[in-house]
Amino acid sequence: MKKYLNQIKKGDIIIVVLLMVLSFLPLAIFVYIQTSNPGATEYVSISHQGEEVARMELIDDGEREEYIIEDPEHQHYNKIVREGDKIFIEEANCTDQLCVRMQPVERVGETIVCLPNQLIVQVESASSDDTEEAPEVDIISFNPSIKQRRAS
Amino acid sequence: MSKTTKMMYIALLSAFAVALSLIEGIFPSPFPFAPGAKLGLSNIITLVAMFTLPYKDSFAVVWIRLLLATLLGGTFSTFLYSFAGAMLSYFSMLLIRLLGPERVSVIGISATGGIMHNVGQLIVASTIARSFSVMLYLPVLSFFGIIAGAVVGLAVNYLLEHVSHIEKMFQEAAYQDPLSYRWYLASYKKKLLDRESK
Repeated sequence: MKKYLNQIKKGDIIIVVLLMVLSFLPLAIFVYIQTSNPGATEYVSISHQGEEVARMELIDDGEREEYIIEDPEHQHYNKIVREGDKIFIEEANCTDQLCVRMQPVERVGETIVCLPNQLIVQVESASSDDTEEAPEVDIISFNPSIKQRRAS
Repeated sequence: MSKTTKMMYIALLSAFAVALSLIEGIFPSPFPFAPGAKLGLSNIITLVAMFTLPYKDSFAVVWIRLLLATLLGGTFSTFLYSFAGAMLSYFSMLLIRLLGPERVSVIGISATGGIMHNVGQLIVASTIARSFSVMLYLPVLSFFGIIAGAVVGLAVNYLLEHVSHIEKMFQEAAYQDPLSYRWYLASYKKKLLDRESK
């Protein structure tokens, strides 16, 4: 074992520790943004091919709720299940099955991604989402009825 | 070194790299609790190429491996991921190598490569998925990237010292490039010390 450890130089350890710390940077930014908008309710946003298709509220009521995404054109199939305040993907027809093997998620910022089916399941908080959406609305595209339907 | 020898060497390395990345796909991941984490065995070949060939040729090895591995067992989206990962890890390893053998070792270089490979893949994933939160998975992946990178680095150390043909190419490279010369000298010294201690 000593033979192997002798091959490591001081610079290696510095670089590796530096990179490890830097890899937490996205998480730190995310937590910072989240904590600057407190008092929000948690919900799950399900998006397929970059468009949000459904939302589910995360309430710890012990009930089971299912949402099935089917896209016959691209042959995408995912069954998303909410059990209480946890959410996971129960079935999918993707090749790698990584999304089915992911642990159930429950906290803001956690995601389940199914890359072959271009599906993202993401836990978000309501107030932070409004600030993200605001710049996208301009006079021409703004339609109050769409806004209302999304909120309900 | 004749032009043909060099061409053969590049072809051989690329073939090894393609074979390694295909073999890696057959075996189950050694990190089942972290989906997406891989050993990155073909990084062994990238490193060997980097140490024994000029920049231009080692870049060719990386390119050929990317294209062939995609053609033999991948889709366009896997190509995008491995392209971003391979390029980012190749160039960051080049940068770290510039620090010289006095400051870093092959293990550090390959650990950097392992982490940057994951960074590249996650950047592509978050661009395709149009979601920043994919990047939150980075700490998990880079932790396993370091472990895998250290193992790969050890393997490269042994390859450079003990495979006679690779060692010969290492020596050739040392004649042509002062940086390679320093790396070769460090590896040679270590080999002599090992022999003495035996």
